[in-house]
Amino acid sequence: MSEHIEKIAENLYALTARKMKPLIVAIDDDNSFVSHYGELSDYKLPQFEKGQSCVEELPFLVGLEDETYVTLPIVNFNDDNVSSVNIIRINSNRYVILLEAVDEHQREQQVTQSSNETKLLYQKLQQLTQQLEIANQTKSRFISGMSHEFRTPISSILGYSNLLARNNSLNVDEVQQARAIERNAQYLLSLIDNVLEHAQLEADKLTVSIAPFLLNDLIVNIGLMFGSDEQSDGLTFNLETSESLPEVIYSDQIRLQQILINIIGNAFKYTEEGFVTVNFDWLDEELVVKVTDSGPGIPIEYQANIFQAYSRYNSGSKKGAGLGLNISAQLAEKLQGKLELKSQLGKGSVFTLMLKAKVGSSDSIIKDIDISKNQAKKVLVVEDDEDLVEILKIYLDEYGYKTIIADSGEVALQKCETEAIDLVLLDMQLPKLSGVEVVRNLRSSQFKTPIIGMTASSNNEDKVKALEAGCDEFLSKPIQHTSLLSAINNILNHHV
Amino acid sequence: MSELSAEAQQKLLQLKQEYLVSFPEKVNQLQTCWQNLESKKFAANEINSLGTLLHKIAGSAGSHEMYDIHSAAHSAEQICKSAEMADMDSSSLMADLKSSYERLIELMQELS
Repeated sequence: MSEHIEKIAENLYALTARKMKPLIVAIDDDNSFVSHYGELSDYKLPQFEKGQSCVEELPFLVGLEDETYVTLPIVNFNDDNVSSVNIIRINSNRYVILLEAVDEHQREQQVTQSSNETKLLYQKLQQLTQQLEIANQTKSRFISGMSHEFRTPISSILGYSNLLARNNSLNVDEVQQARAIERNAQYLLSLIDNVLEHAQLEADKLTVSIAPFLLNDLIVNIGLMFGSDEQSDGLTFNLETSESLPEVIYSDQIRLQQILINIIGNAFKYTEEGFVTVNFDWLDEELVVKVTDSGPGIPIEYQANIFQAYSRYNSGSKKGAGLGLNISAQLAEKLQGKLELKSQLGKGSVFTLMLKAKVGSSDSIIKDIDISKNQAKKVLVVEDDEDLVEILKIYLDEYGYKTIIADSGEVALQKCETEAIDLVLLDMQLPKLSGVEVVRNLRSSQFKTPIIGMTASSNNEDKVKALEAGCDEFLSKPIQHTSLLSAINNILNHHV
Repeated sequence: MSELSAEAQQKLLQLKQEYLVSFPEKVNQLQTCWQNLESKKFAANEINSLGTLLHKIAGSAGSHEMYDIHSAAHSAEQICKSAEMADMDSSSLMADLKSSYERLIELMQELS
């Protein structure tokens, strides 16, 4: 048995020796040759004379620490020899043990190469990511820029068509034509708003503001919006409410209303005759709103993608960019809810919005937004343009608010410190102390009064900056009295 | 909510008339600003002053539903901002600014 092991060991040694070509070179302290074991020619080394310096052929000896045991994993020397080197000191001699390491060297090179390739790929990936980010920013700037470019002429068309329609010298047909221009300009404006909103949602820059509000206010608003003869256009509009509905819930009233206006608006848009019914219910701590119509229904093959962006059914006869339902579904998700569709061709559609919401107490909110109740409310207008201040003052007077004026950020900070203010209306582009600086300053001093930022910029980044600094709402200039009043009422109604 | 009272509308109309009366003065301010800008070779401070003036005109004109003036002032203001942000006095940018500025002056003078 041991005989076999010895034979195997001999073969193994011979195999290892053939593979690794061991060479031992004994040298003294001056790196001079003493003796050797193995084939010098395997490493292209000459037959050294005793006492001959080995430094030229074994250059790695130079500067080596004089230790008992030194290991150099891979050494490239003397015309491309690749070896692993171990040096052992025994008494006055050192024994340089060379073992061929070509394979190991190749593996190491492969690892290095692979690592370099990974680094290159990573760099490439970083470059591509940067390029994508730049492209995305460019897209956002383009959308924002174009929105302004579109908005300005459309505002002009809206203004003039409105003036034209009010002109007493026009006959009925001409008034209708002017109204048609106004309607279509309004429609274009809403398309632009949708594109902007979709871009905001894509960039995850659209925020929701959860606050308690009276559910009945929302229901009344919906009733007023869609219940008029003009709006219902011959269709029957039913508004149903369950007795189990809570008085106050926590959600984003503006966004919730936006979703409902979109779904109900679609129901009216696509229903030629019959009815549109909106049912508000409260089931398992969820607000459930069902919008049922007697319209043509949606074929099953369109239903799967109905909430996708730019997805449209019936695109031939009705206008739209196909973004409304996508925005509504995304907003529902942001409000911890979901939007579902059930529809059968020829039998109408049912859109159901389910929203998780906490029930609140009516004590925690300002219940009444009746104008007479605003008499005591003080609005600080921070605006350096006197002309605009006068216009805002007329709007605010009209709705019963008391106006306090500050013509600079510095004055605004003083007024906020010394006066009891219910709301701040702040120009974001003030000279010296900017609007953003004013908001940051106020918020850092625990000023909790709601602030509405105003700017002429249609750039979404400005809006995000204002909201991030601490504004509660944002208005684009030129300020229209309806949007101003709506924003103020919403803010005061939301604010706890 | 959608319609202002007759009293408020009357006040707005009066305000608009007063606003129109202020146009020659505003045009003067714009022209002075522009002359400074040209004499100081489009220095950053002068561009900033013009931008501030244009910003005010854009805001107030828009609120008075004078959309053409709002649009012209806003365009010129945007060019001022671009020039400030880019920290440059590119001749093409200044040519654009001059064209927007002249359009604004023309519109304001028409209504003065």
